[in-house]
Amino acid sequence: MNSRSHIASIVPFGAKSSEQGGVAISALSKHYRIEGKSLPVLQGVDLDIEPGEFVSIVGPSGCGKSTLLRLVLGLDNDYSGEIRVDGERVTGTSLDRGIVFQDHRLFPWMTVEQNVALALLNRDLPEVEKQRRVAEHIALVNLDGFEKAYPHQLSGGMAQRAAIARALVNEPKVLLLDEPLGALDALTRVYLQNELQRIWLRHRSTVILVTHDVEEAIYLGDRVIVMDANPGRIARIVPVPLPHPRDRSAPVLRRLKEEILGELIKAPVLESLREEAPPALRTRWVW
Amino acid sequence: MSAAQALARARGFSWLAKPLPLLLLLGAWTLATGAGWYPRALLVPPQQVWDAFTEMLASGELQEHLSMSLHRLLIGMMLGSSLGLAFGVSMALSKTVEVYTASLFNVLRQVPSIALIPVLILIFGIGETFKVLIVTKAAFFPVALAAYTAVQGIPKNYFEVGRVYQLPGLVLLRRVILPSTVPPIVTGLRLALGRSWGTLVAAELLAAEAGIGQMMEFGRQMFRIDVVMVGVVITGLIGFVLDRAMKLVEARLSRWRPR
Amino acid sequence: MSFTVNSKNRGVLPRGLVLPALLLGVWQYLSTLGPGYAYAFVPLGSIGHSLLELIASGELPRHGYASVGTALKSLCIGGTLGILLGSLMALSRVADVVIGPLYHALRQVPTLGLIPLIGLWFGNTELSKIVVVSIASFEVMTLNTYEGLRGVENRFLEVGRVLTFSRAQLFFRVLLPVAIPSITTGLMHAVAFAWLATVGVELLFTVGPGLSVIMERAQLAERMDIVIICILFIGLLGLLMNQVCVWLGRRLQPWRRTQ
Repeated sequence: MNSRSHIASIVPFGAKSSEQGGVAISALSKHYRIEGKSLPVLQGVDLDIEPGEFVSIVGPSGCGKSTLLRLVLGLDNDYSGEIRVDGERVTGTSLDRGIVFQDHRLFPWMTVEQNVALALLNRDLPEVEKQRRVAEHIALVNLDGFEKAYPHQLSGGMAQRAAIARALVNEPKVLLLDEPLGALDALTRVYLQNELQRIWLRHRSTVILVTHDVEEAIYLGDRVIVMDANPGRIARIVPVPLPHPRDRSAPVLRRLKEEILGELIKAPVLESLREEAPPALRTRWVW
Repeated sequence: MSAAQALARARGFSWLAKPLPLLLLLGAWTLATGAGWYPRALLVPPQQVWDAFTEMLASGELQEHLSMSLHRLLIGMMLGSSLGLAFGVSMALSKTVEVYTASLFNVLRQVPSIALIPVLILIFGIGETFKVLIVTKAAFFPVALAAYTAVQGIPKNYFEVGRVYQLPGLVLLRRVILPSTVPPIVTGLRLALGRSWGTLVAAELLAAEAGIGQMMEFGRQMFRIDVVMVGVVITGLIGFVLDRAMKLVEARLSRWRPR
Repeated sequence: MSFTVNSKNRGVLPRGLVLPALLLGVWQYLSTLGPGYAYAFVPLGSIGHSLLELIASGELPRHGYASVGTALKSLCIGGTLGILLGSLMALSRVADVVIGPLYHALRQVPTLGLIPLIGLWFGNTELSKIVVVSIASFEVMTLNTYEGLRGVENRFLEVGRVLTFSRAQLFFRVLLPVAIPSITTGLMHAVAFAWLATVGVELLFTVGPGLSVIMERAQLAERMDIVIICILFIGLLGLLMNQVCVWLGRRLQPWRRTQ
């Protein structure tokens, strides 16, 4: 089934229509060496991401999802297999690929404005254009008025928004999000999820979101990649055939959430309990 | 631990890691004197220093100086630390004490210990007393500060937990208060020890009958550079050993602390 | 760590003065008990008299100026070298491996203990004083710079790498700003230690103008009043320099959250 057919039905808000930002990962493997022993972090990961697609990755801790992100980003070059963006191998960091970390990592000695502008440092653009872009993206994340604020003066949600602005000001082909809302409270998270969706619909870069929040993964993603640990690999890919922007209460989202949670919660212990249970109880998905 | 030691450790030469810095230094030293880069008057070869060392060891001179210095250090440290501890704790526990003594404490802390040497000599003469008192002063302030910070820093919730579980006072002291205050106090003791040693050596340089400092000053006046170097090496060694010993105690007592 | 004992109550200033006032009162009383006492506990009146005399004759300002001058000159030399070496060792593995062990071994020797050695090499001169105090400043600055730069959190460097910063950009735009707090704290400690070393060298190399030089002479002449005045000014000037550093630290970090 072509899980990407629904993308064509999305209304683009004056977005760039280029076919850029496709990510092709094949046979990706990585292992750490600890005291002579080799620990596999990722093994045989194959994934093709269409340009402009929003992909969510969920999985238990230790499944290598953050490592996968760092490899696509180019922060880490020690792996076997291939990672290609638009056909070109990833061999280091590039302004075409941006990231938002879980901790905002805004430089505390710079204002919001300066932090966002920093991303344009190595961009060859006239100063006026840079300033325009910075202002545009600060407005995009609804932080206008706070340009001259220092990070310690911002709330967690605001700081994360500034980090998003910094990641987007380069208009990257691929945007990576490493549990960006994990450190925030529930209300801020919901608000920012909506914001992320809105902003993404404006830019339409390819997005890879790593999160432990299944609901968030389903709400935002076109596809949800469920990963498994020991070794890290893809267990299942769940398409989310719903056009954007989405309604949080759509029943199909709830069903998918249960399905994916079932996939994640499946554990050897519970499996054996399920085997021993009376037939009437065995059908419940909670096993 | 420097990168060189880490490197040595990684390659399996871990027994080499500790003395490595000194070996390198020794090597550089021998090289410098052997190659004739410096005139004899300025830098003497290690061999000569070693000869002076063995000579003073044999005549018992070295032991005498060393024991005098360490003796003074010990007494001064004990006095200074106990006073500092008592004072720091009382400052932390009693607002009254803090308010009345804080300003004076801070001002006196600013005065370097060695600046008090002339005063103490005038009052107590060039004897043992003034040296011990100098060490006492040098040890007092770091320990008092450490004790104050440690007691102040005991989280209030510890006491609440104690109340919830109705822990008797002594148990609270032994099992809760002591363990949480001991590590920073031991750090304070380590700093005090380092400072006291430096101050003592300086005091002995100025006026003493015996002691490592006096030995070095005498060597200077007699233009015996080898004697001075023996002193330099010994003071460095002792400072290192004392610091290391305290660090071990610290580590032992701080096992439960988050890094 | 620069920690001051703080009392945030109103009216703390008058209460903080009670104890010193009391001590002064006791002092004055003791000075009246007889000539033996007056020798040690010089009457406050005569101290005040000598003070005015020293200021009027220009002696006190001259010597104070000279001492501060020595300290500042040495701080510039030693401090700059310290920042350079500290940065080098923190950023270059090669430097850390080659120079590191040597540095850490030499660091163990109490700086003032090097005075006889420097005295032999450079004689009883102004130069010797500057050399020793420079070494003192150098040691503190190197350590603080080294630890400041090494402590730069990897996560900020990662942001720099994601933004495709060159090595130069990483250094000037990430490493340096993060290390500034450590460096300014290092400066504060370096100033304190340099001042202490200045007192030490002036007491031992009694050459040239300097507060501790006249203090030493006063001690030999048994002029307790002058000794006390010198102590006061040594403490005062030390406090002043410390405050300048604190002010400087605040200026360099406008982004620090105000407490």
